[in-house]
Amino acid sequence: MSIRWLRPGAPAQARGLVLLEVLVALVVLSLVGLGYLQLIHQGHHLAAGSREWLRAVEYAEDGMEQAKLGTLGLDDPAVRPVGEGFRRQITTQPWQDGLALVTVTVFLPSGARFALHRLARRARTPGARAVSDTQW
Amino acid sequence: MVTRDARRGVALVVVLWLLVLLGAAATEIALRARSESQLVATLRARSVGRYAAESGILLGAARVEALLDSLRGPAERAAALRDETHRSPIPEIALGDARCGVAVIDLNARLDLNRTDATTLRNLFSEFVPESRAADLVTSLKQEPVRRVEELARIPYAGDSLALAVAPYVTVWSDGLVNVNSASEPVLAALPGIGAAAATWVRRREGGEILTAANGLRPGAAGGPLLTVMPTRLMLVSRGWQPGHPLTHEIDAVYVVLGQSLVLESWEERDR
Repeated sequence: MSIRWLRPGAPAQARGLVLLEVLVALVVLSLVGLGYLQLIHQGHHLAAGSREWLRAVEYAEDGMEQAKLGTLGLDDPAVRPVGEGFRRQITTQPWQDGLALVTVTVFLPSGARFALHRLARRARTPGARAVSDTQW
Repeated sequence: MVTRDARRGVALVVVLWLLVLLGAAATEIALRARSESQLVATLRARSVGRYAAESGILLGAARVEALLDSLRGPAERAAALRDETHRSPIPEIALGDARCGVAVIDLNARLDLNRTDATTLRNLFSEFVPESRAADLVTSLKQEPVRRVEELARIPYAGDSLALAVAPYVTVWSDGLVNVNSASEPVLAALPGIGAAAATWVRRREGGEILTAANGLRPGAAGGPLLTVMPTRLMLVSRGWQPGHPLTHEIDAVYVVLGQSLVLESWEERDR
């Protein structure tokens, strides 16, 4: 295309220079542009990961608050789907001084996991692990 | 008319400008993504820290209640609670990948800035500043009560240095009673009718003695605060955090000691 800008009588050396310049420009644009595209892709990936972690925190807090209110079973350690590919598990294990450690684990679609831990009072009934037996 | 010489180099210049624009856009996107990622990491740490701090409060309350439950005699309970509140904070506790630490503070070991009488407060401040300034400060304080100890620095005649100096001896969450078995010497010395005897009391306490009414204490003597031999208000200060993250979540919970149980009076949370 650049060659057409030249007068028919232009020296061959000048035509070659313009072609070379366009080629160099394209190479520079491609190389640096690819680097930028990679940067943008990484940024997009990071942002998507952040959104996923944010959802995981929300699901974990929701689980912990529901466990506090007693609306979720603490005696059922099954991993249950909570939506958008996330899964959640709530477990309790005896701790010291009549306390129990409640753990809410959220499994992310990417395979990562996020866990929240909180102590709760355990009822004095031996062996009891039901929701009603765990006081907050 | 644009000559061939003028066109030469245009392609490179256009490409360079394009690269500048693309670079600016890519940098902006990368910065925003990083900022969002850091924000989410902070939210995660805050959530982990908050539940760890709540656990610390529960653990501290359970320990104090177990202590109250296990000891029947008033002297035993007074001694046990004094030891508990004088003890170093409960060391770092691991809850999964979260950590927490908790301290028990006897609020009756301090003077309440809003409930204590003017004479006692003036005596306390006089230990740090001239009497005339202490009197002016107490007058200002009585006209303008504070809701937090930190607000003392903003009261006329107080200032940062005095607020810092008296901070270990004052509170705003007490019920006005002063525990003679845990109050420090400056607090005891500020009580009307006690003064110089405070040093003797502290020495007797350090010798393991538990002071009771039988020791000649006269509650509310000379119009000062009412005295008690064991705490009626306890503050549990708990901090929770996620290892590797600088954010710490703190909870200050004030409990009323009612028999063998604790009843929650106030609850404050903040990030540090």
